[in-house]
Amino acid sequence: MTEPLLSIKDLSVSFRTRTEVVKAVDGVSFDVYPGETLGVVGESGSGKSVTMLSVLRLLPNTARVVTSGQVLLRGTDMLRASKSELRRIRGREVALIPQDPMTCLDPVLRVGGQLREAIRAHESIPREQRRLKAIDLLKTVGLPQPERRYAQFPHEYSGGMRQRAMIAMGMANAPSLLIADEPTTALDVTIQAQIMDVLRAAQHNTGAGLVLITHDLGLIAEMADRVVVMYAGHVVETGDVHTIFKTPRHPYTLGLLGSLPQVIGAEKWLRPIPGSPPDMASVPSGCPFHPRCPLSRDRELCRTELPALSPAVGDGHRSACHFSDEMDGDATSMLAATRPVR
Amino acid sequence: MSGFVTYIMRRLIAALVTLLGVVAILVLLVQALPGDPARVIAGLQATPQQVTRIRHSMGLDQPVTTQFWRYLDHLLHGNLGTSARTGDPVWSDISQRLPYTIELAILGTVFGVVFGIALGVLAATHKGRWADAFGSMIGVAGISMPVYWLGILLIVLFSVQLKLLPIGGADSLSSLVLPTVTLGVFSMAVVSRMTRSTMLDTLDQEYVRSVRAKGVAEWVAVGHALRNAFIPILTVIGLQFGTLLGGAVLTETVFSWPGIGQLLVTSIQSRDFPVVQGIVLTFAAMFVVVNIITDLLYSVVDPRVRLYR
Amino acid sequence: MSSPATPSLSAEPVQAGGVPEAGRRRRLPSKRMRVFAKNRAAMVGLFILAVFVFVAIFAPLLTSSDPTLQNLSSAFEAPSAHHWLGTDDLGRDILARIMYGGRYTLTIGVIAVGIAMCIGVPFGLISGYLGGAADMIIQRITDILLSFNAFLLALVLVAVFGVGLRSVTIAAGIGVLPQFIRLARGQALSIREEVYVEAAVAFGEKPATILRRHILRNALTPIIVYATLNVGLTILVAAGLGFLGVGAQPPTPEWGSMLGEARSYIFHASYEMTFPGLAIFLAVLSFNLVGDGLRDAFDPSLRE
Repeated sequence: MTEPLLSIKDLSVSFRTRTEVVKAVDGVSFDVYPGETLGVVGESGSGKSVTMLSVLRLLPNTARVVTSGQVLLRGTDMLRASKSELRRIRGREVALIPQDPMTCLDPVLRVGGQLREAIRAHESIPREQRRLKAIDLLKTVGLPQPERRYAQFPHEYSGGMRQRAMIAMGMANAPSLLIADEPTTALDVTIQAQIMDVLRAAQHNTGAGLVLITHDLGLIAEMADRVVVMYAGHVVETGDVHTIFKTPRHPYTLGLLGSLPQVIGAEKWLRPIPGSPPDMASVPSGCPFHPRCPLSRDRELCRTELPALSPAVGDGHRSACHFSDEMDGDATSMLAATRPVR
Repeated sequence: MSGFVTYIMRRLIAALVTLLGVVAILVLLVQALPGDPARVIAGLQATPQQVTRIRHSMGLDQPVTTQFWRYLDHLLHGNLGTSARTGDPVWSDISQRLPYTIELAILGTVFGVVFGIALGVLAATHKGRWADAFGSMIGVAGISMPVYWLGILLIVLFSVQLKLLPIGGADSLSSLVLPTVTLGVFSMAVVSRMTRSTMLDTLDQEYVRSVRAKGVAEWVAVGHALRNAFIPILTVIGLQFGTLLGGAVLTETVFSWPGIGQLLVTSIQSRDFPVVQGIVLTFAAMFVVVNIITDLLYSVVDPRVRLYR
Repeated sequence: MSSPATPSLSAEPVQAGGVPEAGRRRRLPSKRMRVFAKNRAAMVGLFILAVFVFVAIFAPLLTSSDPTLQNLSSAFEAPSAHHWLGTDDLGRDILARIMYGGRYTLTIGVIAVGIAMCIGVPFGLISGYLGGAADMIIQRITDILLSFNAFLLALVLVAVFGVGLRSVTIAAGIGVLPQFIRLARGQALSIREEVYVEAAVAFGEKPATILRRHILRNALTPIIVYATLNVGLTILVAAGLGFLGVGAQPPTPEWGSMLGEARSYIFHASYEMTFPGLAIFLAVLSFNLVGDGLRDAFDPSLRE
């Protein structure tokens, strides 16, 4: 296989508050290869956004955030990169397409100026050329009347248009990796599909790798080549998208699949995972999923020992479950075995 | 554009109403003087003729409402009455000195805004570190500092000991330095406190994070945060302008600065009410105008602010 | 970062029966007190304040010098073992004058704020809670008063009331009055919308009872925080009047007037103005530090 573009090795991120230490990310490792789309899935609070923000070192830079491990981007360890290295990499090598387009554009500056700023950060061309390039970028992401839009303020844009502008900004310097943090959660369903098309086109044009952070498995099925499933700051399962959907080997992944509205037989079923994600200040001992796990059944091992991410069936498929070998069917049959809730 | 004209007209009318209220209070205040107001204003050594003259010239022998309308009528003709002490027209006294006060107020504000924003940004971008502690300390010390004491300390240090700057007056450019600093320190403190707390908020906003994600220098991201912090900063600049005028009274007294603040103090000491009324009205007008200007600046600073529809 | 399922209201006191009160406050008083106690700057302020109060109360025991006793033969003495802070133009011991002066300065500040609170809070609450014509009239008057600032307003009032301690206190109180009306009105406006007030209205309680039992009680915390911050301001105002010679009159050892008297001698006795000014500065600073700390602990929304 080729060299990974991004290699996260044993990354941990803790937030210190006055009274407690919250370990948001705990020993996470995975790779992203050039040109591929990697889906990072998990409920809110699973640490997926924190992981990707630490790739760009965009977590608040205070003594309260403690990071360890390695985040190698083409060999540069982002966690130890100098300010000038960071500046070179941000926007040029890795671009971020954030979650909520409503809050991600500077409200007091024209969109065109914000685009020019992205261009100017890595390319010294005359002002007029920057303007033309910015308008061109707006055209690429499918904004009608780009010249007019260029001179407008963010509040004159709709949510979908703002997200298009953010994608344009991300593409400005043709980065080799795009990180999209729940790029469509804040948008209407009809707009979501359009934005995903724009994102796909952007990735296609630049040949960039894409990390798609989401809790929407539907989006993953549609977009991703490989999947990383996160729970309570840990990677619990990883593999290519077909394997994960067809033969999941972690009960949490199975639970996520079950919580998708799906057609079993002739009826539509929806089955939420029992319980709620843990409070990150007091993560359960052993396997963090054990209190909610249908496989655990109060077994000692689950309560005491953190399962390692170890190979399961199939190439590159790994699961962090002590009893993953008890899951031996495909997703549909395993789900059918437990009684769904209507 | 016509929306803008309507807006300005509305604001000016509201300002006029406020100033009318100020006039009413000023007229009433004279009535509140213990005993015979004319007697009090004329002073202890005044002859009965002088007392009568003052009573008549201020209209104190007429009902309050008449006095109010009379004052307004005179005001419309640019007449603020005559000084009870010198007999000079009040407006000529004020208009001679007003430029000095305006000069000092502008310089003090500029000093306060420039250094206040710089300190606030420094503190906010170094939250929890020594620069923050330093900035916060200057902030709280600045709002606790008696202007007059600060002024005297500066005189002792720079004029008496080091002999670098003039002790007072308004004769040369160098005589501007100490009054400006003295007057500006309070504004600086208020602005820096506001800048710090607002910047702490805007620096955490996602749009600043997305600016950082572009790969720009940190000061560019800080610049975005600052631009977005301007509305509350502007508000506080407008609000503290009144305090600045109060500070100007003390600063002018300390530095023998020939503005209307110093005139106000001498007039109050000698109970020269026509002059006091004129100066207070002038201060109120300045405050009202500055508030309209700051409100107009909102829409310059933030495109989302619509002053009118 | 934290789990969305954590109930955020668990710390709220729940009253048995009747109309639930105090629903607005998120943090328990004791927890807020602990936050306050951890604020180092506020503790420094509290300490300075305690020293000032102690010295003011026990001044006669702490110094044998008479603050008003003139002794021209020992005028303008620099600080020495006998006169720690030196003597003034009339040979009076500056330390003794500052110690006794604290009585005046602190009292003026506290009483002035008390006056502003007692007048401003009822008007503000009524204005905010009742709205309508009362609100409009009160707000117009407040607007007019706010177009002066505290110091100018007090200065003009002193011109009317005449000089002296009492008129300075009243003037300084009226000087900060409009801010208290504003604050109380804002509080009433927001508390009015709370469920427990609506419930009280539904229960048929009288407006006066609602104002006292619900609105005032819940507005009290921010008002007290604001009052603390304003004691510093009124001290500055009153001392400023003293400095201009229209405040406390000689031989009263009020710090502002001491500074005003000392001003004539800055060429050859700069220490004479150093210490009264320092005393004003420290006293105001202590109230501001304590007020900042109270605000951050009890009502961060009051920030500036």
